[in-house]
Amino acid sequence: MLRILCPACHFAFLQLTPPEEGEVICPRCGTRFKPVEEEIVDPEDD
Amino acid sequence: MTDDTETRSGPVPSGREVIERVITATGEWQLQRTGSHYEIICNGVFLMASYNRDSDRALAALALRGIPGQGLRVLVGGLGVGYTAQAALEDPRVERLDVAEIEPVVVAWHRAHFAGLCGQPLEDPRTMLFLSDVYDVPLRSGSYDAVLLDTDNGPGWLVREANARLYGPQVLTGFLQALRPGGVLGCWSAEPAPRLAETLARAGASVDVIEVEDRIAPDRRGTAWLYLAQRH
Repeated sequence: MLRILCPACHFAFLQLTPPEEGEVICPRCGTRFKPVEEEIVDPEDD
Repeated sequence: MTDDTETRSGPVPSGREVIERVITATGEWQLQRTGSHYEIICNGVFLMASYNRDSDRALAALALRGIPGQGLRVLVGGLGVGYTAQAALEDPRVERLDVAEIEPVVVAWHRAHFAGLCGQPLEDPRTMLFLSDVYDVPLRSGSYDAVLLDTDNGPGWLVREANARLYGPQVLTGFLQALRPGGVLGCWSAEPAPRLAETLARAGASVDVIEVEDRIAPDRRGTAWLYLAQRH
């Protein structure tokens, strides 16, 4: 599971699979970006 | 996010104004407006509307009412308008809310049109958005106090054929096993679903079926059915 942080609005969300073509669209602000601060997380860790 | 986007203005034959229509990996999604209300159509099937408020909120409120303890963890399958998520957050015992929404365009419409109606649940620091099918959310035994499913119009009225698996005994048992003792699996349905109740009971849960009055059209009231299965 990937935790993805939007560089524009800093909204964090989880995605179970790597983003297609390396890009994601922030579900909050609509910014399209290549995640650089993604990490594999365990949902139990939060 | 989307493969194709089409925006129209003006009324459609039903009297609804189509705001946006998109084709995505999960099918065709349409946002339309009738008066001051919004409706979402998925693959040609009515899915949700801003006037479907009372039963969506009741799904969370009634499920949480029967759960003991503090520091509750809740999983909502299907963001929709956001009423269920917000109602869960209004219980101060809820420590964490996971919302699984498969369709990014629904999240976008939620933010643009619905968030103000329901209290902006995605902005709450207790909320984490899973941009995924609730089917794919990793479940561990005892990891949630409530799992609330509102992905379709019920097991007999699906918007995606793939969602039929959510109501099968294997997946329902998996959701029940993800609950702590006393936790509740809640399912929303627009029509009676006796087979769902039987499946939940066979899985060992105590099942309550609750009829809730709600708007089924902007000017018409009807009934929704809530299936609340409590793990022993």
